Amino acid sequence: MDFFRCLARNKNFVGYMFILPSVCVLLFFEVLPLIASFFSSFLNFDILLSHITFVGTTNYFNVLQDDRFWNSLWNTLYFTLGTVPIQIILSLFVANVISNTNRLNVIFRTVYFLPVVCSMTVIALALMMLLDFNIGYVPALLRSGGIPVIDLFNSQTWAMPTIILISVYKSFGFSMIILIAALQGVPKYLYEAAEIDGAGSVTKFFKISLPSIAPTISFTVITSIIGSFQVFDQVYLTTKGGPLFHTETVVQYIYERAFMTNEMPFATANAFLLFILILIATLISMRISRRSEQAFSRE
Amino acid sequence: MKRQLWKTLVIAVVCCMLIIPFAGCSGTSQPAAAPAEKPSASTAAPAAAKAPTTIVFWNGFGGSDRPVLESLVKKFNETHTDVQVKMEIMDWSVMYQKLTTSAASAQGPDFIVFGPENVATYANLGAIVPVDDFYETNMVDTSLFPAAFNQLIKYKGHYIGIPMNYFSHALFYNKDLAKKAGLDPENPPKTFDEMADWAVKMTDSKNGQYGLGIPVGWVHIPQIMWAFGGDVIDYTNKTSMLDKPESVKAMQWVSDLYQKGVAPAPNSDFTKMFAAGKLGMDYDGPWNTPQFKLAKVNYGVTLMPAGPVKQVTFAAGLSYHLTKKGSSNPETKAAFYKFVQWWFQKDVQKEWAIKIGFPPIRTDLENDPDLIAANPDLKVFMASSKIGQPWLVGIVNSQKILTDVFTKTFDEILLNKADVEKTLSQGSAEMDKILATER
Repeated sequence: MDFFRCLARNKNFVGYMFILPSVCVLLFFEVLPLIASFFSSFLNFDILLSHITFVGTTNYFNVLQDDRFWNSLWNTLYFTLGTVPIQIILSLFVANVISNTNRLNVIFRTVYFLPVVCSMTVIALALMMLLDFNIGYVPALLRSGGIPVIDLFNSQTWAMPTIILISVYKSFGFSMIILIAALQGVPKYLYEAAEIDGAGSVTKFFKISLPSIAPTISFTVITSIIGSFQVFDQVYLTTKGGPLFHTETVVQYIYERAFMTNEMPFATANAFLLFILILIATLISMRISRRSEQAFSRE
Repeated sequence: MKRQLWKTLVIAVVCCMLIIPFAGCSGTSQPAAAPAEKPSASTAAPAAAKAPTTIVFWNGFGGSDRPVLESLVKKFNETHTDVQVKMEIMDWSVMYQKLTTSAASAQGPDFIVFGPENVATYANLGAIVPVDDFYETNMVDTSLFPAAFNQLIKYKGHYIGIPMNYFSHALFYNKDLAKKAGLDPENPPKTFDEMADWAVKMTDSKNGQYGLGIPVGWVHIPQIMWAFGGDVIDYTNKTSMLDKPESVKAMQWVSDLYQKGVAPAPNSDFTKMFAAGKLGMDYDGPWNTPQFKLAKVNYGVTLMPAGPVKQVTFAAGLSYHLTKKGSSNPETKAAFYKFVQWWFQKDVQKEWAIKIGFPPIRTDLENDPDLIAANPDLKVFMASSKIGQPWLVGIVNSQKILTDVFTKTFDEILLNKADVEKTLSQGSAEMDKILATER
């Protein structure tokens, strides 16, 4: 009992005890598996973890020599470069328009945020039902009006843009809500002072709103980039990587190698390369964000 | 003092919070540590001999077949006091994913059901084990199995599975669309030429209506190759046959049809298209019947038309497989054998066949009037079994071949109008590389 009392007197110890459960969960379910999978990428083994042999960097060389890895990496970059700018610009625009709190804006916010709380499965299946070239409602409607129809999910050109739009529809509401909160935190007197100086709404947006919420924009950009590099469910549900691997992303490819063809060591090495890429992309975007934040604050 | 006590209490609570999950973890990893009051696992101890042995069964029957299977398992559980089957139904792809990870940790099901293309893969890994003793003790009359099962349930000279269901491909055709195209719906195509002719006539591209569905991801194109006298794999020597003249001729026939615009994109949802009246013909299995009936399509079903060399179709079946975990306990194994023996009984097979529309796994039920009266389509599917053959039997890397070779090669030809002979030759070289690891 005295031991507990002694510990209880130490404020830091109590604080650490509060975060200990979360740290344990993170350690056992995130950090340790991460370390274990890193080491396993240097081994060769079957899915039942038998016949384990050390192969050094062979798995990494195999991945780097694989055409489908480079194809999936290009598709992932295409998806990221398509999704992130559209999502950020759209959410910034909508957030700016509906940031004032009134009844109508509350309704709009709810409507735009609704896809975020829906599962991707529901959204992807619903949009497939609507857009399916053969049995979808939208193509049927267009056909009845004599308008030519594109097979979006089977077109090598249009399949990826379609998946990008599905992703933006699903997740732009999340960025929007964060940006609305940031915009509402900008002091009103800055706008009033600008108005007295004769600034219009465009000037106010670029000279006051944007610099004030720059750190929040950085946050949304970084989380969007990380999320985009890990894209999987929308691809799996709509095209499964087709047609002809034109929508196959790195995570989709890792999933296929790990669980469909049971090539776990290859998949682990692939996953680690993706981890490094995400790390690099995040560091670059953090650096760019920091510079732009500094530039805005100087202005 | 009170504050001190409160802090002590908080520390104690946090400690408890930490202990509970770990206690939970250790509890599940040591099921046999303490004698349970009500044994629920397959590791029922001799001390609880009177309690039933519970065996865990995983499968992916999540469609219209789900309630039928559930009711049959329930019936088994109600009529057997010594064995209880605990069934877990999940998506097939989820099941394969969970199976591999659970097998690695000696957890998961005692027995499972899956298709023939997976048998070699999981048998090679040791996730499923031979069941020779089931056949040695004559627990079922194997002479009643459809012929295709001779290959399907064997791997490397051992019996590896016990038949669960049986299916074959037949040609579904929309009678209304046929009539609209000026064709006789009571006289469906009997040859490939007639089928191609029907496909052209039933196509109405302006209204998004196609004549024939030719999927790429599975057995559909290889089965056309069989009809032309070719194949995809020489199973004896484990070499590719994709580049053989017969296979090239078959692929050219498919490509020509596709370029004529009579077939929708290879990755379309053909079942839904047929159900929506947007597809004239679809060669596929009996699992489509409930959906077509639900959509009230006026359809007919006939034997797969004869190709230039032979009349052939795809026929295979899912089998029950004992897992490594299930075989580790003699009681579990005996319970599994008892269940599969019950499954082979005539009345069970009749109920299963009538309710889900699949042919039974007993050939002595082929002409059963109850079956035909309940589901006339069954007659065609049972007759199809006589011209049916399985595929990818004994191939360990079947999934890799499906995605890396078939889908890629066939998509390249159909979507990119690639040269048939050259592309099949490249695909063949790829497949030989994969098969070389199995020779």
